[in-house]
Amino acid sequence: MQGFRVSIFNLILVFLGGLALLFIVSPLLSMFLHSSYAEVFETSKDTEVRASIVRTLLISFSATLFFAFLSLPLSYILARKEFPGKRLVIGLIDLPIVIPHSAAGIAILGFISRDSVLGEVAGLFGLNLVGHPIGIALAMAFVSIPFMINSARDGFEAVPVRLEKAALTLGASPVRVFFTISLPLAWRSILSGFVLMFGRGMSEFGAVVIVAYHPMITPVLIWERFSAFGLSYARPVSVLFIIICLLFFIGLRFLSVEKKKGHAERPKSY
Amino acid sequence: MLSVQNLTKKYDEFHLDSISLEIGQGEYFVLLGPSGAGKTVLFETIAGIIQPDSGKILFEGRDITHDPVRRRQIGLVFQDGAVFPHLTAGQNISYPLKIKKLSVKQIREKVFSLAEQMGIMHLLHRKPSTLSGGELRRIAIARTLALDPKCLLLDEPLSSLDVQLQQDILDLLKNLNKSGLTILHITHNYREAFYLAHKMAVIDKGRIIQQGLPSEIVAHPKSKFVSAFIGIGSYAGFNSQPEG
Repeated sequence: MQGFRVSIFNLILVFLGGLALLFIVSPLLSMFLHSSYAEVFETSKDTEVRASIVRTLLISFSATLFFAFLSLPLSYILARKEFPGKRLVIGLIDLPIVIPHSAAGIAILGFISRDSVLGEVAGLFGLNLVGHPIGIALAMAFVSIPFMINSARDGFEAVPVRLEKAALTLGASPVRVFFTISLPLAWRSILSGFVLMFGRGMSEFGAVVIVAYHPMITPVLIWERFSAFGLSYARPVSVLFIIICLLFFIGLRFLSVEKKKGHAERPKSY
Repeated sequence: MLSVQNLTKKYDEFHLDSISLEIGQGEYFVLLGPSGAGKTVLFETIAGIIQPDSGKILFEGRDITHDPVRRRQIGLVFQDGAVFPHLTAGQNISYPLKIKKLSVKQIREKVFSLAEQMGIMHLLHRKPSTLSGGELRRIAIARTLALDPKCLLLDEPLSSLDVQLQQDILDLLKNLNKSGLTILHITHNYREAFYLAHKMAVIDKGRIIQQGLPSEIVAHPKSKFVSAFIGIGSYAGFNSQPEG
């Protein structure tokens, strides 16, 4: 690793970098410092809070899993194929990131309401997607799917094309090349996109609150506690939710590191 | 055995211009040309990865121009080996064997036999990231030979190797050819070409400039480019021999 020589330029870098880091850490640290262990512990026993956290994690995880499955073919196409309008498609994928999430919620509401095609199809099965976990999942996925697609696309792009060509010359079909070469080599980026999509989905408030105030996911519950009872009631829920989110992310990141270590181990055959 | 007839492929800034080659059974054919001459594009077209715009590829008399890659019985070893980094050396060699749906016992026997032939038995458990350039080339060649190809295409198999490793691989390739395997080898190194080739062709800017026996090309280079590229320095009226 390169040493960090003391110079005015480096000092300016450290100072400005430190300010940026402080900006990220300070609000979170302040929230933790203003919440007592007893408050957080009491909140963790609140059944409404617990139910909302479980609901949030489950819905976000299911949405991520389902849409990750749909995202991979698109990511692969964008990484490997050239076609007219490709740049437009790439721009469209990033759209949910740049539009206000309340507007995204309105768009999703129109997409799933009873008078929409999807709403009518769901109605045939006795489902009303508005105010339903599926509606919440769609809102979460809409605002978070760009992270999955872009990360997987980066992963596929990083796989050298010549490895795929080599597999073809060794007799593999394009499907086999995808599953035995492209996918395993892009796996870490895909997992990274999965973690980002999952995290972004579970923290979504703006789009979800428009589609479904109830059943309540934790970001909506935090808003409800804040607007009804004030900051001191909302804060412990926030702290608890952040702790759980962090545990999940550390776990998932750990999984990807373990996966990497696993590659270096001596395999059972050969 | 392998006949390439008027093969043409156009790209925006480059094209293969009516390439024709004849490679006989058991021959060691070297295609010599500078970087960017179109050697790799030609190889990938013969292997079936790239579809030509026009022209034909005949293999043992059969037109394979539009056959899928996996039905051509032509093995291609890429420039850097293209060894799969997430698989061990043994898993790399067994990759085409699994596609052929051989039994575990058959796969094991074949992998061990190829590994022994290539002198890489001790590397079968190792990941590519822990291997040297020469070891990776041997694995790549073994993996391609696992297909039992009738013709082997080698894309600059000696590039980026040190002198000793180059000699090891050269000997290995000579032995493979002596055992009856037809080899088509591309390189930009004339020494390599003269050491190995029964027949050779010189390619530049997507065109075959000259082809024939190495001795004929040395004796009668068709152009200044050929004489310069094969290392004899002058064109017309010279008598000097190439080094190496």
